[in-house]
Amino acid sequence: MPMKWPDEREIAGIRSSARIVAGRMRLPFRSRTWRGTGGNWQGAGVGNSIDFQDHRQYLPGDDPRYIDWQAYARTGHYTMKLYREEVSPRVDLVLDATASMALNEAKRRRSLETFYFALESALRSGASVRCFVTRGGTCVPWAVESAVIGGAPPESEDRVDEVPGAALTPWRSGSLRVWISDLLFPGSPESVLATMSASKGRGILLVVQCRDESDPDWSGNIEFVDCETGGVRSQHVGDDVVARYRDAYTRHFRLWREHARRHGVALARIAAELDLGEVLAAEAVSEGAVEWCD
Amino acid sequence: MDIYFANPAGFLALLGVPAVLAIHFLQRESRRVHTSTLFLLDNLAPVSAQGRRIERLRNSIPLWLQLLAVLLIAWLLVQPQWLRKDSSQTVVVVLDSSVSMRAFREEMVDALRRRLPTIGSAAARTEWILVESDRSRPTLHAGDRLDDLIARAAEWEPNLGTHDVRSALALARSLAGRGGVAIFVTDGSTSAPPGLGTIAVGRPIQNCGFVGVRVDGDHWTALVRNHGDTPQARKWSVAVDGAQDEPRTISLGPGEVVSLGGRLPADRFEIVLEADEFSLDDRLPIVREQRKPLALSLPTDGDIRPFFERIAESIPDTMPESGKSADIEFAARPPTDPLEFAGNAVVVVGDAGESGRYLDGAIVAENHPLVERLEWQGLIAREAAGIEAEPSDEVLLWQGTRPLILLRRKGDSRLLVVNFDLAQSNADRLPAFVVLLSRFAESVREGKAAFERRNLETNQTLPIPPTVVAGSLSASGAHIAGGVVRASAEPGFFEISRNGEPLLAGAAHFADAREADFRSATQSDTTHGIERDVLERNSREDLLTPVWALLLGAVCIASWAFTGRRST
Repeated sequence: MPMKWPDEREIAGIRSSARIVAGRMRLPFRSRTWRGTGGNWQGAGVGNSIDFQDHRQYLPGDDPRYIDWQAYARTGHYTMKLYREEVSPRVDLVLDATASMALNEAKRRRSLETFYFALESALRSGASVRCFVTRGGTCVPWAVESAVIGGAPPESEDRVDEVPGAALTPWRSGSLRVWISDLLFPGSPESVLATMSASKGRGILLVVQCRDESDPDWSGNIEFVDCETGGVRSQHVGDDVVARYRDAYTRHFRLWREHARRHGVALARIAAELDLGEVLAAEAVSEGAVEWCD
Repeated sequence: MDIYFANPAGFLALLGVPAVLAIHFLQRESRRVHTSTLFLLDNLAPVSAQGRRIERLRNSIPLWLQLLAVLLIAWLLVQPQWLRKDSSQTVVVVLDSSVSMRAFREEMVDALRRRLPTIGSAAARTEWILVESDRSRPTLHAGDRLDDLIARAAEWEPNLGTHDVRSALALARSLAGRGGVAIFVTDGSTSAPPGLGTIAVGRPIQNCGFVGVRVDGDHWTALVRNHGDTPQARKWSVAVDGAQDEPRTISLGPGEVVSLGGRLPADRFEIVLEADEFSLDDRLPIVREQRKPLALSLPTDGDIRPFFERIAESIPDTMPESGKSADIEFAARPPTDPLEFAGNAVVVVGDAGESGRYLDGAIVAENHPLVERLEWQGLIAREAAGIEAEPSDEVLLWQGTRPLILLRRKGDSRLLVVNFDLAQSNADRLPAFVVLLSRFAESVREGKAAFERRNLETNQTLPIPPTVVAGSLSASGAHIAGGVVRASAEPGFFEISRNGEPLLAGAAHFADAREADFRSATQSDTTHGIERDVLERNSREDLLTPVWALLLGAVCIASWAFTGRRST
C-alpha cells in the first residue's frame, strides 16, 4: 500500500520548509573526497584545481600543460605538477514510499521534508543526483526533474516481506547514498547496509520516526491494522504488552545502529513531531549524516 | 432514609449497566489502530486466528458516559421523592384474633418485620398501634417504637373462633386517620374495606383434629376430621393423669370424619392426637358428665297428673320432691285462685267446663327462647276461663287476643302459666308444648346453683345462676371477667368454685371446624398501594429532575461524539 502523495499546495509548503533547513545544513559533502565529474568539491584524484597536491615524473601521455617548467629549468627533467581534483559528488537519493512513512500526518510530512531537504542540499551542492523510490521489495528510478517540481513518484508494485527495495537500488560507485526510511520491516539490516556501503559508497540512513510508533498510547482492546498489508490483529493491550513492545522497538533500532556502524553508514533518527532543523542539529549532525553549511 | 422511589420498576433500567458492560466486553472492534509495527507485536504474544470473542473491559470515555447515561435514565425513571421533614403518620396493625393464626405465628412476625419498616419509612415520624380484631381485648401496643410492636405481636395469642372483624377494622381505619395506614394481618383471603391493606400470612396445611365429643353414660365418642385435601394418617392414644396407652393409627381421606370411642377410663382423661402444625385441636379433654339434679313436684291428683308424670320421666336427671323444696312444681289452679308458689312452677289455669267452644284466631308465638322455632299451628284448645296477663308478664303464645301461655316472674322464680284447659286440648300430644316444658325445665336447671361436670368448648360462655353472685366465684383454668364466666381458652380441664365449694368441673376442647380448616389459607400483601399513597402525600418531587434530564442529554451527545470520532 503506497504512501498517499500530497497535493501541490502541500508539497510546495513541504519543499519551502525543507529549503529553509537546507540553507543552514547540508548533506556531509565536506567530510570526504568524491569521485565524479568536475565540480566544486574536492575529488579523490588529480585535477585542475588551484590546490597543489604533489610532484611526479612526467610519463608519456601526461597532459603537457601540467609540466613544471621551472623544475625542468633547474633539473633538466620533466616534472609534472599535480593539483587536487574538484568534482561534483554523486548523490543517490532513495525515498521509502511505503504507507508506513505516512502512518500519520506528521510522519508523512516529515518524511517528505527530509527527502526534499536531502534533494535540495544535493542540488545546491552541484551534485549529480539520482532519485529512487522503494516500495517493499521494489525500487524504481524517479526522475529528478519530476521530484524537484513536487511530482508524485512513479507507481510500482508493492511486494512486501521480500528483500527491501533499498537493497536493489543501483547505487553508483563512490556515491553518497541517502535512504529516507523508517526501517520498519522485519529482517536483517545486513542486506541493505551491505549494498549501501559497497563500491566505495557513503551511506546515510535518515530514519523518520513518530511518537505513535515509539511511545504508543495503546490500552485495552485494540484491533491492530497493518497500514501496509491491511492485516488485522485483535489484542488486549495492557501495560505489560506496551512495555514489551517498547523494548522490542528499541532493540530493533539498536540492531540497525550496530549494523550501520559496522558498515560505516551514518544513521540519524528524524522525529516527526519536532522542528526539522532542531532534529537534524540534535542527532544527524553528531552522527555525520548532515553538516552545517559554511 | 428520607428518599423513596415512586416507580421502583424504573430500577429495571439498571439492567442497562450489565448490557453496556457486556457490549464493551464482547465488542471485537473495540478500537481500531493503524500501525506500522505489527511485525513487532507479532513477536510479543500469540493470537488466535479469529481473535478473542470476549475481551477484557477497556476503560474508555464512551463506556463511562454510557454507564452514566444508564444511571441517569434509571434515576429519572424511578422518580425519586423526598420525604418532608414534618410528615407523620399513624400505622394501625390489626391482628386477626382467629385461633387459626396460631399456626402462622412465625410467618406473621416475619411479615411484620419485613413490611412494617418499609411502611414506617413513608413518613418522617410514625406512631405505631397494635390491636386485635377481638374488640374485648385491650390495645396491644401504642408508641413510636416498631421493635416493641413486633415484640408484642410475637407474644400475642389469638383465641377467638370465626368472628366478624368489620368493627375492628373500622375502628383501626378511624385510628389511622386520613394520613395513616391501617393494616389487617390475617391468614386467609379477606375482602378488606377500602383504604385498608391486608397482609395474609397463611398457607394451606394438612390439619387433622377433633371436631366434637359426646359422653353418654360410661361411653365417650369423639370425632376426628381431616381438614386437608390429601389422605392423612395419625396416631392417637388415651391419656389418664398424663399416662398414655399404646398409640393406635387412624387413616383419614380428604375431608373424612372418623369416629373414635370407648369406655370412660376415668372421671377425667384426654384423647391425644399426633401433633401437626395446628396443635389446638390435637387434644381432647373429657370429663364424666354429671348434670345438676332437678327436683320436680307433681300434683297429687287430677286429669293432668298423667301428662305431667310423662313429662317428668322425659326430663333426665330428675328426682321427685314434694312441696316447696322442689325446683319445679307442676300444678293446676282455678283462674280465680292467686298464683302463689315458693319457686318455679308450671301452672295450668284454664278451665273450659263441659261446653267450651274451640278457640279461633291466629296462633302467634312471641320471640322468646322458650318458644323459638316451635310449631304451634296444630294446637286446638277450647275457650275457657283464664287469667288476664299482667304488664310484667311475658306472653309466649297468643291465639287472637287471648294469651295462651305466659311467663310470670316473681322474684327469682318463674311461673310458666298455661292459660287454657290443658285436659280438653291436644297440647299433650303437640311436640311444641312438650319441648316448651322441657326447655323450661332445662332453664330452671341452668339457673340452679349446684355442682355439675360438663364437657364444653374452649372460650364457651357459662351462664351464672341468678342466685350466684359473680364476685363470689373463683376459677381454675377458666376466665371470669366483667361478670362473664368463660371456659378456658386452651383445651384442658378447669374448675369453678363458689366460696370454696366446687360449682363446675369442666373439660374444654377446641371444636371450631372452620378455624381448623386451612385449605383456604393463603399469602398476600395489598399494602403496597396504600404505602405508595402515603408516600406521595408525605413527599415532594426531586427538584433537580430537569437538571438530570439535561445532563442525560449532554451525556448522550458526548458519548455519541466520542464514539463517532473514534470510528472515523
